[in-house]
Amino acid sequence: MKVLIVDDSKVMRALVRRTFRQAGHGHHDFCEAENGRHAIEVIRSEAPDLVVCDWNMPQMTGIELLEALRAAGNQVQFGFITSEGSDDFRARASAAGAAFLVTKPVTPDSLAAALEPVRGIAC
Amino acid sequence: MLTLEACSDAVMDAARELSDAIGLGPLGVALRDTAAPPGVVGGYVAVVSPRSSVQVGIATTRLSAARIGALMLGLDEDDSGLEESELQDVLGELANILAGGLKRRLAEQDGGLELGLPIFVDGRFEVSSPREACVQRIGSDVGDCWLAVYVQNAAFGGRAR
Repeated sequence: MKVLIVDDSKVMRALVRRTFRQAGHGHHDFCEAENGRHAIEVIRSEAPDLVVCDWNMPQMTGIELLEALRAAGNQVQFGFITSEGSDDFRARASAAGAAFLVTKPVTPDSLAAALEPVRGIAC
Repeated sequence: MLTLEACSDAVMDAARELSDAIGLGPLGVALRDTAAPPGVVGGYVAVVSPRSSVQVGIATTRLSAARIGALMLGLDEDDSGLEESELQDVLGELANILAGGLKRRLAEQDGGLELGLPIFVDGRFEVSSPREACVQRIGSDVGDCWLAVYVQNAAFGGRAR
């Protein structure tokens, strides 16, 4: 499947890719975006099956991206990898349609557990 | 109201969690320091609420920052020739994760905390308004790092934000 990684940190995008590999999910196709606004363009051109997104980003946050996608009728599977791990953020993420929220620092185990319910994500 | 001790303990705990996650190895005992030495670089994130204003930072040498970046990216230490933008990115992301860890650990004490975006500082970081400060020096496999926490509560008479 095709996975879009959205984070304003280039290092974090590389770390997430590495963690996907360590979690047994290195065989997927990956593309990247550096904020929510850029992600909208990439989603339009690449049609990913899964979006993995940071929360706090300049120009457009992750939750704003998710809300915009759902408002436009785009039901792409979506999850957060973020330093925001409080209960209210988890509730907001779930209410907006996110399948998971993994708190940073992400580990192979935490990512693998979060990806289990994602459709088509078999190792 | 957040205390300096609670914030410092939360950041230290977050640092150990981060170190485990990126494979940095066990951190040394934290030693109180007056400030990070001259010549270091650092990443800082604000964590603010209507009641409190906290700055969380991590500072280290450029060499140590490059080594941490190599760890995060899975590079060989000998190949860790990070560009300046990547170095800034590494420190900003480290500060972001530490700040998020502080927020998560202190959510019961102050549920209104919000994270800012990271900033990179090349040189000495100083705060001008009255606030409590704690700088802790910790050893690691890649060299010493300094964890900085600056806390200002509304009780200090300044505006939290």
